[in-house]
Amino acid sequence: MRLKYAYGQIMAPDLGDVLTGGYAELGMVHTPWLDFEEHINRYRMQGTMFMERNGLFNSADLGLTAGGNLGPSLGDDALKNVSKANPGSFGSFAFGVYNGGGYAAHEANENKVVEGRLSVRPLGPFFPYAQLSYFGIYGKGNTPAAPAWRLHAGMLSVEHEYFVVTGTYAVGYGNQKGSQLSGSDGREFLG
Amino acid sequence: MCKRVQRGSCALLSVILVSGTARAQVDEPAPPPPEAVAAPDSAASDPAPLPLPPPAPTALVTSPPAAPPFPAPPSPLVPPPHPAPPPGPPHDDVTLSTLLYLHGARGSVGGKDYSRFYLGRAYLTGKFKPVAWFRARVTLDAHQEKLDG
Repeated sequence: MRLKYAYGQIMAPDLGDVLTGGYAELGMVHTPWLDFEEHINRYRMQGTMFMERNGLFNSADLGLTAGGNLGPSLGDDALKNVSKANPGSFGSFAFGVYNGGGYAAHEANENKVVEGRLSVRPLGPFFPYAQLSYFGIYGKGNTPAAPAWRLHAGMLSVEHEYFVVTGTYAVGYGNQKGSQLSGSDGREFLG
Repeated sequence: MCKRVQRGSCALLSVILVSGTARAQVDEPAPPPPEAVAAPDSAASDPAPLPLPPPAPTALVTSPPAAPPFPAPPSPLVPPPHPAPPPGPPHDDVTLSTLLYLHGARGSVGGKDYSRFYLGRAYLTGKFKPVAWFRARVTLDAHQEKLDG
């Protein structure tokens, strides 16, 4: 038995139609990527996501996450076919600072990890099903030696009423546990 | 139905997702009963009560009372009942939910048959949203890393 999430979340007022649905979480919070990806990629019911499965990071950590949507929320018709978790017409974002150990391990060093995600819908509300997303990590692995931990990942996703297609490419160095002391890159295509 | 995998083994893996949600609402102060509503306030907003019918003339011969020509008007001291208040806003919710990952597998490894069904992972989540701009969440994660087959 583990504590996966334990946080308080404050909702921010909208800044016109530019930034909507803003929030900040403090505690054992969502990290920026996996919650976003799992709302798009329904493979989650069979197993963990591509990058988590390869031990690069996991879905929750002790720290602070802030995020929101770019543009007003999509209409109800569009939301029937796309993830309702990040409904910005032009995309969404999330970033935060964390201890680095994840929810499954104690923190083993003094380093803090910075993570950020930016997702855009290139065609906005005219074709909201396609999203381009970037996710980055800058920090150190969770060992006393604190090896470097870097990650740059991109994902193209298309959500449809009848199918979801995602393509992910990731390149980086190290991992969250600090057990990998070399570079890595990987690709995944899933439909 | 079975998928042939390496070394001649045959395995079938199915994943079933089970989830459930229980929802409760925080008690709000109950509206005052109609009797407790101040009569002058409600009287000011309600139409004036209908006048009582004039008293019947006194009869010397006792006879069964005749039915009134129309229903008696409501008493001006008891205002009409107010409509039920609308349900509270959604941010009053306290939610408890669970998500279970059940696994079933059957096949053989190295000539040894196996058949197993197990709970691979389970989440228990509680959410509380006391006001529109704040909410809290706690999720417990019970998991099983590996089961020898």
